[in-house]
Amino acid sequence: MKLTRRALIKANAAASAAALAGVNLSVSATNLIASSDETKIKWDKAPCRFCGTGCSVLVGTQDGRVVATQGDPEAPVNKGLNCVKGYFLSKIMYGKDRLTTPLLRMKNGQYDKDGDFAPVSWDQAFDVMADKWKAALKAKGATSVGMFGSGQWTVMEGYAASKLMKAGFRSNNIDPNARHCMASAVGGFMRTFGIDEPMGCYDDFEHADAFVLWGSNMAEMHPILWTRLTDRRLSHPHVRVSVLSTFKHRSFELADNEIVFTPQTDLAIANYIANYIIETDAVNWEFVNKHTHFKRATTDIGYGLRNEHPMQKAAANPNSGKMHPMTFEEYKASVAEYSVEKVSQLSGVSEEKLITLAKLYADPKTKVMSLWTMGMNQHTRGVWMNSLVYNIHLLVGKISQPGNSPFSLTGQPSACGTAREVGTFSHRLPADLVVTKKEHRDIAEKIWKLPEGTIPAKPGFHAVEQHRRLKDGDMNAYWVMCNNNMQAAPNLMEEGLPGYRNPENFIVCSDPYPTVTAQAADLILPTAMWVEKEGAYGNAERRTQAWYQQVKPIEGAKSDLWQLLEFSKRFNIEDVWPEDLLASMPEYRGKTVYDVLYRNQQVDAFPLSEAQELNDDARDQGFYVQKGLFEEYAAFGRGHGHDLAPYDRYHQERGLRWPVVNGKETQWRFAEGSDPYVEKGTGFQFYGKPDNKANIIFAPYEQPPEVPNEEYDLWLCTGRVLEHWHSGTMTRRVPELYRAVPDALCYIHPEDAAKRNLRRGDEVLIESVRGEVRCRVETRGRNRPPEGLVFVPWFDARVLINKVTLDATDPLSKQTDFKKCAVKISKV
Amino acid sequence: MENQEVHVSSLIVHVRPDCLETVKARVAELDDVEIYGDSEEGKIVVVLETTKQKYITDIIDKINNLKDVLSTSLIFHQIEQLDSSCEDDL
Amino acid sequence: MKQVLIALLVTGALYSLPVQSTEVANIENVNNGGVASLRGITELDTTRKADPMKRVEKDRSPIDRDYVYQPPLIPHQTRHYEVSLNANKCLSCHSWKYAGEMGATKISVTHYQSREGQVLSDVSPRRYFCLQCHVTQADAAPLVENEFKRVDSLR
Repeated sequence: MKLTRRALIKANAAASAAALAGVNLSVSATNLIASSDETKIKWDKAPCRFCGTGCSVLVGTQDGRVVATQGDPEAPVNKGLNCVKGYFLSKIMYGKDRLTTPLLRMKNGQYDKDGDFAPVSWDQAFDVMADKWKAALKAKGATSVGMFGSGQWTVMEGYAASKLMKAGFRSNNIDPNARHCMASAVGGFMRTFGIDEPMGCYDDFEHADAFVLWGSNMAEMHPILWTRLTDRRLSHPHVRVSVLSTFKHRSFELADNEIVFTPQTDLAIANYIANYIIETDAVNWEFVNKHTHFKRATTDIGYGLRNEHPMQKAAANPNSGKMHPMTFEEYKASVAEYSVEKVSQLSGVSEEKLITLAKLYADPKTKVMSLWTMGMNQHTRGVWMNSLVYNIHLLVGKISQPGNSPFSLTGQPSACGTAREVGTFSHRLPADLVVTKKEHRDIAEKIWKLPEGTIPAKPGFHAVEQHRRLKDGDMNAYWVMCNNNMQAAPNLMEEGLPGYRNPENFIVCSDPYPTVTAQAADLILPTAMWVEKEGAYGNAERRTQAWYQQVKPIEGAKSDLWQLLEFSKRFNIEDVWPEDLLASMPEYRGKTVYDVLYRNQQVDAFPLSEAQELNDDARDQGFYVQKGLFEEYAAFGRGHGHDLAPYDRYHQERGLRWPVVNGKETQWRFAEGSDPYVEKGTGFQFYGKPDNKANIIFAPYEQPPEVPNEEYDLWLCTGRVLEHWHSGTMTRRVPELYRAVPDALCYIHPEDAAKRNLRRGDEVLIESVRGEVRCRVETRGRNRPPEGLVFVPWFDARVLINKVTLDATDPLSKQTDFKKCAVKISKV
Repeated sequence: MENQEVHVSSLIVHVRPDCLETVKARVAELDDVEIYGDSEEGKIVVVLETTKQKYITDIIDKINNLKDVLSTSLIFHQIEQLDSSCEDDL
Repeated sequence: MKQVLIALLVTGALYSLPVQSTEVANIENVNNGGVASLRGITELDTTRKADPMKRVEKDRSPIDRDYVYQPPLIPHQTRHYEVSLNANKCLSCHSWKYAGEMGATKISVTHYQSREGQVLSDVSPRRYFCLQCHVTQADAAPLVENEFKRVDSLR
């Protein structure tokens, strides 16, 4: 070690501590740093780019590049820790194939659907794009244009996009990839509580006596929350961890009660626990009488398949979300059939394990935190399942108190902040408002200073429906931003790919890197990412976090926000609004969509001088656009249970959990003393519902849409891995992460492998009735499926497992069930 | 040529603001400790260079036990193999 | 125009791979337009031959780090290493107590602090699952070159 290196390390040590503490280093220390230029690293905070946990990281920059990252010790979420993905954030922007120019399919200098991609200027790109949008709008109206966005958009980007689609183009055909991820959770919240997102917070981890994972591999998918759970379990020996899943995975390493159940039977297990609570007289009557209603769900609701699909036709009440009141006695009778014997037989879980699980909830002295992610949400009965878990917590009154917490974890960094709170879904508006309600549209139109009737009342096409409509040629101009949906969406071969490649359609893909989606698109827009722009994310515990731009984007790349705003300048309001709407606000005549939506004295209310020196988006617009968008958006929720703090404060804090009232964040919603919206003397108020009561909603076990048969004899479950983020666009370009998990493998039980004459590492063909892929089998890796089930992660573009998956959804949430379909496997 | 292990670490010591100077003086007396900066809010940035890992935790304990110290957090730690034969003199 | 594009998109790794494909389904118009993704340039409707199974590197010397906060990579295989409620195989070599005699890298002292910053006598339980931050490395060339640059003094 040379002294320069030692000096650097000491300077780094001092600088990172100083950055955290807000301390200016003493003269001698700065001298030391100044003595050698290369030691000058500037540190600033940003939320991690990956999952919904919302860890804060410190980003070290030097000469306009990120040179280091570290876990932020001041952040309450992660207290200095990151997972391996987070520790390698510094490399995600530097894959050699970053896109640096728009690319358009061309032949003979003209756009051609069959052409090869060629570089064009941004002007040319937007010209062609605007032509296609205008042609579609003219020929078929607003439902012929669409956008697929992301829970990885910043809050401001999602808000600007939603406004552009719903008020500018007057199309509700905007949906985020969060539809694949969190829609069932939203449905559960709205039906049970009338307001979205968890009542508890991460502090519950340090208070719970028992943790129950209902379909969540937190050890891999929420590693930092797993450290908090592990800390609690290992430091407090009385704590118990139960892990439910359809196969064994890394979270089982900490499990006291390992529960591997037959796919879909979690519905029955949840009802059994409710039954056990009633049978053992463990109901918290005071709570139940004062704070809940009993309801039953409409049953036999289909599987979200195309209307002409036989299974959809066979359903008695397809897509019905109607709930009917019921008495406690009726509820009791409904769950009574879920006896331990019957449920044990159905689920394949021993009676003993089921009873052990039920006792955790029934024991009034055990504080229980239930946790779930995709196992419960990507489920053809996901909305029901979410409510069934709430039922258990409500029956025993274990909710909204430290450690007593049904907690729906989020997949993406801003699935909550952007997709859910901003409402970038095809049926939603900000702050839980929906397009179907006139009074909600009125609120949005008033805040946006737009004429009554601007926002269409009919929900647009949701994620899976968008691919169907592209294939059918109903939607012809389509923009995919900040996600890789060709790889992520189900049934690629029958819906996604034919939809994109339909000659009637023009598909635009904005991404930092060339993805599978880009390969299927017609125009590719090079996009700035993460700390190349200023933004804000909202995590799973309602924590909103903002960051400043820290480096210039790679030359040629532009942020999603810039792209949205520049595109909106290409349209005069007359191009997109009918005469009657214009007549009611004639002052908008002759203006561009950009002027009407973003130069409305609100979005442009804050001058450039308030922004940081390095803020390309603000500089390009000439005003502090992120602040303007955030503040206009915040007007929706303030005073309505979704209060956000003034924008600038988020740059001072490691995030704040909404509602933020009188400058104070809220840890436990609905609970007196913690939530400012709850009136004194009430104890609890579930104020999302008009009478402040939550619903206990009975729903039965119903069969999944596709079960293994003689030919397609295995269940297929897909999912993620610790080392890669979603489709791997960022993480597979980090050499260390790529080498950690280079390929997607098919995890299979050794017996199932032996039956097919397979050895570890053999290449197999995985087939469903929809498509086929080839990959290699793993018989002894981190995932240990039971006989009859295989697991394949979807991060690998070289495999594309979604060629095989089924596009069945929860009929209420429209969220895809990626966790179960039938496949066969043979040796290649 | 002898390789020696060097541990570089940094701490934020949070103290009662009115006692900043007295605590600083006491911290400065400890071996292997350098103060790099401080703030009026009572935060002191301390860098340690020790030859053993154990010494770091010992020092943290010592600082924590000083009067008027509210908390100490370890921010940074790196182990380096110091090759004493090729160290430059500043 | 086309030449410019090729220059733009050639990233060595992506183009140098042979196109490994077998069956092709029939979807109209499928054509990647000459752009390579992590999939390479194999068309999306092609059933791509699986890549070879990679081997985890074993027993090499510690792998150099690119920045000071980077968690050390695991320079050996970890198959059958149990890390569970019952046992932690990693700690049996890397804990302070054994690292010396085993010739293993010592766990950083940061691992001996609790979430609240208190110094503990043993590894903090929040750091118990080592593989959340430390990963093995397969013997494989990266799919795409990464142009991250270290700060000068660490080069």
